[in-house]
Amino acid sequence: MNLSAPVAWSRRLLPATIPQWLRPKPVGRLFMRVFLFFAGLLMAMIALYSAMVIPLQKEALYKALYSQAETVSNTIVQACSDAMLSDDYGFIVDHSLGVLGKNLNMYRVTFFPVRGQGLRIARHGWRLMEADPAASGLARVTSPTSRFADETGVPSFEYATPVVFSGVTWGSMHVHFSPDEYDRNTGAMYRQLGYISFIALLLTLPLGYVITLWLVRPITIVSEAARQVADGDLSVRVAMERADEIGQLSTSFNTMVEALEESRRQRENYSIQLELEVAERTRELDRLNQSLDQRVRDEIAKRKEQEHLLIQQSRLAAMGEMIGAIAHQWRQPLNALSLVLQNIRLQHLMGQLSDESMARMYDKSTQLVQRMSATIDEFRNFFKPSKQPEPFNLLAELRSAADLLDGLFKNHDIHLVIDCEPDIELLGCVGEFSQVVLNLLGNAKDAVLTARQSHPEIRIRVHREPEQIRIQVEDNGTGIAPEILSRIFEPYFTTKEEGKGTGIGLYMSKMIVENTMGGRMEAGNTGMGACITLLLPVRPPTQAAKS
Amino acid sequence: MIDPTHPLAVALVVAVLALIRPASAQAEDPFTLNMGVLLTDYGEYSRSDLEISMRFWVEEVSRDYGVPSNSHFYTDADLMQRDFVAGHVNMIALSAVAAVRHFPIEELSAGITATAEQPDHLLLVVRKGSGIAKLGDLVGKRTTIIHNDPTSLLYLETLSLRAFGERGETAFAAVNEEKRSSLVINQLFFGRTEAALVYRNSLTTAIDLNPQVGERLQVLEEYTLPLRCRNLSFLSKRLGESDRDRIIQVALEVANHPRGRQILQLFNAERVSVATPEDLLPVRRLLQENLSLRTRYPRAQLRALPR
Repeated sequence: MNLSAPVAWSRRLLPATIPQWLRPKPVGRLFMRVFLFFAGLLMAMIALYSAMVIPLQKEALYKALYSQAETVSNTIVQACSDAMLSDDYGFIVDHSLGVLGKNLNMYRVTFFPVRGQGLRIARHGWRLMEADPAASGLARVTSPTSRFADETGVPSFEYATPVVFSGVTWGSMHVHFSPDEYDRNTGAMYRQLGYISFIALLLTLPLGYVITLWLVRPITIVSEAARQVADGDLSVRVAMERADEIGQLSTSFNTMVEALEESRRQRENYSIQLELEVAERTRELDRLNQSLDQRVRDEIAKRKEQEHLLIQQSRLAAMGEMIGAIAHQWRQPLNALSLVLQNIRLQHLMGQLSDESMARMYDKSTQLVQRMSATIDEFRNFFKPSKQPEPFNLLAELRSAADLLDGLFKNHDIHLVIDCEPDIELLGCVGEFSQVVLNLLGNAKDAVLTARQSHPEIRIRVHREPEQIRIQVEDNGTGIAPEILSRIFEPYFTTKEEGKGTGIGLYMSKMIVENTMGGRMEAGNTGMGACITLLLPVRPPTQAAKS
Repeated sequence: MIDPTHPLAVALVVAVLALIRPASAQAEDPFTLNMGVLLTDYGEYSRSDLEISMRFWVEEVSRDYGVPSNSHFYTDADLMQRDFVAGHVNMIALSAVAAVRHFPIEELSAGITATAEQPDHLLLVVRKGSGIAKLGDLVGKRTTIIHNDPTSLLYLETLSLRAFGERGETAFAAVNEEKRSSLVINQLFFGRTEAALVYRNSLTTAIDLNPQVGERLQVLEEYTLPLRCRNLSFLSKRLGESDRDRIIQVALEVANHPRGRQILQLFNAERVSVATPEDLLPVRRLLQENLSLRTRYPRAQLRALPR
């Protein structure tokens, strides 16, 4: 892994000729912070140095100017001492002019004798002054003083000293020097400091860069390596042959990365093993799933077969019921037809069979046969399967089912009461619903017959509720024993004698109610006998049903 | 303060300009400029300053231009005169009095002098309001002249003989000498003397330096010695005429040359003009009057003129 790739900005800004080791590593903020710290430190040192040196230098320059002024003043006083004592002002003027001519940085010299007028002597002229020095803006002095003055708009350095001979004050002398040299030296000092600062700044750039790089580069390398490790690249190694803490850090980092790599290798191996194990388990599960699927499919097929068988059995049972009902319906017309046939034979034997009588009995026989045929049509239509849900009138279907059993009920003197409003409509397969009703009425008939009631009665109650239609089929039979109440809807569960019940009637009825009509089916007892309740969703009456 | 009419400045200019003449002329007619300077006539300058300046400007520049030259400094006018007559010196720089007294006029050829705007007359100056209007008012008064200035000495002696006869200079309470003209004027300005003999250009310079001088002093015009200039320089007639003309011609154009302007500024001179032996006539007449008065008043008490 190559860790010497420079950061993007350095790649853009630095020439390609700069060696790689001089290029910063991608920890720009740290680099800039350290670099700015060095630069700031250096500038602060320069500022501190300047703050210390400038006053000293200015003081030194001021002292030099002061010393020069003091020397020149002493020279003038010494040279003019005799003239001063003898009031030879001509000599003082001439000598001062000579001194001014030789000292080009000397503006003027002013004498204020205690007695007499003052002398103001400049390089290009001189004049007598008022006796009072204050009138000229100067003052008598008792000790040497100096200051920067700005008389008449011309800046100058003024040195003033009293002139005393043997304890007797002759007067005072003011020497004005040009501050140009002082200003030049001061300016030169500022310029030098500026140059130093500038050079230091220039040196700071490459030197600070190199030093910062030397300090930061190991950190940037380790940091970059750590970042790559964090990104998942454990092949990174830091190669720094140093005997200091950075070298130890490098070694420790490499050791840590090797440990991480070993750990990851072990983890990867474990993961591979785990994946293999999971794959094996997955395959086993797949096999098991396949087996389960097969078993489920088998069970479903078996269940379908059983359901099919149940349906077949139910149909057979229904057909049996239908045949029984047909037989019961045919019994009376058959007896009547037999009586007609017997009358025809008797009248024939007796020779009393006339054409009129023959025609009347023929018509009656024909009516009986047609009635029997109609009975078959009714049963066939009733049991005709209807697969598509459709709206139907509840009362009408209840009565149709009751009509099918009307013969049986009359034969056993069973009283059937239907308590239902005429405009209730339901949605479902009419044939299947009729099977349910027939099944419930059949069970109720068996129950009242088993109970040997003197007044057997079956009552169908229909209640319109806000969300559902409640249909209750009640009888005054034996009722349902509590111990079997929870099992009566199970397939093949019956309490009837063997050969009389299949145990699939209530099961099929419950399946039809719950699966095809979206309702529920419950079983219970009343005080008189059993009560089977159908709870079916409400269907708003259609316009046709209302009409 | 260097007098602008100082002959030394002229001599220096001439020497330098003579050395920077065209090389072709030097090749055709090489000559050596030997300049004699009478130091006693330049009392306002130190000898060391003069020698250094002369050697710096003449010998160093002549060496640069490849023309041999020599400067000779004298304190004895007779010795310089002998060297001049012998041909060792072909140019002299001195006062008019020294030239008249020690050098035969027939040996002198036209030279040059540095002059100001006005002729440099010698003036008798007094303070205004002092009551001194004529020379006779100076009896018992102090008079100051320039030290080692033969013209001032000659003129004061002549004036005193003319005004006081046998009393001569003893009529003055004192005759003081100051080294520089400025000092002479200052002594008069500050009341340390009642009269002074100064040159006009020196007085003009003093007034320029301090207008109060012009306000306090006045010139007694009656006692003015007309002079072309204070000191002069002359070439020897032994030099070829073409060389003399070339030197003078170049000297007149010195103000156009950078080094020449530098020399003029150094000696505070304004321009260079031609000096002829006729410029010595006022001094010659003054000397003749002095000799006549001396003859008339043989016992007069006089200050000795320098040789």
